[in-house]
Amino acid sequence: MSDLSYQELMDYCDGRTTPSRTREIEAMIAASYRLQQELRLLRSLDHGVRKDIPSPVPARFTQRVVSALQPSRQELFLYRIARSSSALFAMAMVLAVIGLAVGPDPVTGHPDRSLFSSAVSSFRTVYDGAAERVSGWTTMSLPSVSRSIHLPSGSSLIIGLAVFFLFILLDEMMGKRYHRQTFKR
Amino acid sequence: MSAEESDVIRRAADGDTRAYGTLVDRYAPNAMTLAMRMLKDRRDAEEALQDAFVRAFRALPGFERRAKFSTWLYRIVYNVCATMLSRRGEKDEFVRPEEDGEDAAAAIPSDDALPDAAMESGEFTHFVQEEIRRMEGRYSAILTMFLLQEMSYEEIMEVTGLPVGTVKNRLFRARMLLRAAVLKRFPEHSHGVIQ
Repeated sequence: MSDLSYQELMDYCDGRTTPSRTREIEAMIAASYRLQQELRLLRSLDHGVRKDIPSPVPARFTQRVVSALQPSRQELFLYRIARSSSALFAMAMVLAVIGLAVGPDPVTGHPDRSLFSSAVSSFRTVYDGAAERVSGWTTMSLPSVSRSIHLPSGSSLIIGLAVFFLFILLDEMMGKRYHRQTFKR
Repeated sequence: MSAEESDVIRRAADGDTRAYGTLVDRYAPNAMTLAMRMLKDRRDAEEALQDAFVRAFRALPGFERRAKFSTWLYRIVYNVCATMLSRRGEKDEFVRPEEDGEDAAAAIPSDDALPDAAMESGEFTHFVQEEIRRMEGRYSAILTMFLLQEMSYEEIMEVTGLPVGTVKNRLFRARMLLRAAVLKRFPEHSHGVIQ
């Protein structure tokens, strides 16, 4: 009937033919009632699709999505436990290091074999001086650190450090997960 | 992209869930339509849509403003639906590129009886819309993106990851399937063959 293919008719309908080809197609359509009917059918089909109503979104969908964005209580709880635990271990480790540094040698019992004896001694002197002054000014009595904290052996420090780094790792993992949940950059 | 939308996207990317809610309100209907066309099941489509919007929020800080937000979002919806189809064992036909259809180059035949007066009726339009819902997802999804959501070939390629030939072919086939269904359904309105 004509040299026009469906694909070309569709391209023409979609405005995707070149200007010269558009003129040729229009001439063919003008000369053929059949092509006019095909074009009309194609446009009616397209019109039917365009008039389609978008599928209804479920009720309260936006609220559901926003709720899904909040971190779950369980994850938040675990995250807080991990953070608190790691903080406690960090404190314990600081105390352990100070104890090892200023405490008596666990083998010889010699009080002066400190790892950081000069630094810790300075701290102890400054702290005790300040504590004495505060105690003098107020009725509050601050403890003295002149008595060293004692650690029975260095192995407990190693075990403590291992546990500490384990918690650091856990804290890091939970923290990343928490931040993914809260979507902060 | 308007300045207002750009601002909403920026706030949502910074973690503002209320701003993101605005985007969900705006894009959920079209995204839901795409999910329905692909999955053909309301419950699956709702699940996929929620998953897609949550994923999109997480990925929002990485969204490059050069692209249209809608195209970027629909790509996520498309991929989530494709994953769901994969679980059903139906993904392959969706993502496999196709050669141009042989019938695409064929000349328009002169012996089909066309539904004349019926084309103007509400029944005709309703039938067309029902037929899209029945059509295979790989065709109806492309047709919906092109005609209902007025996306260009390039945008459809970006959403689906399919080459232009496959996009054109599926669009062609979708229209031909609709045409065939209409000719079958409305023979009583045809006015006969006109050469």
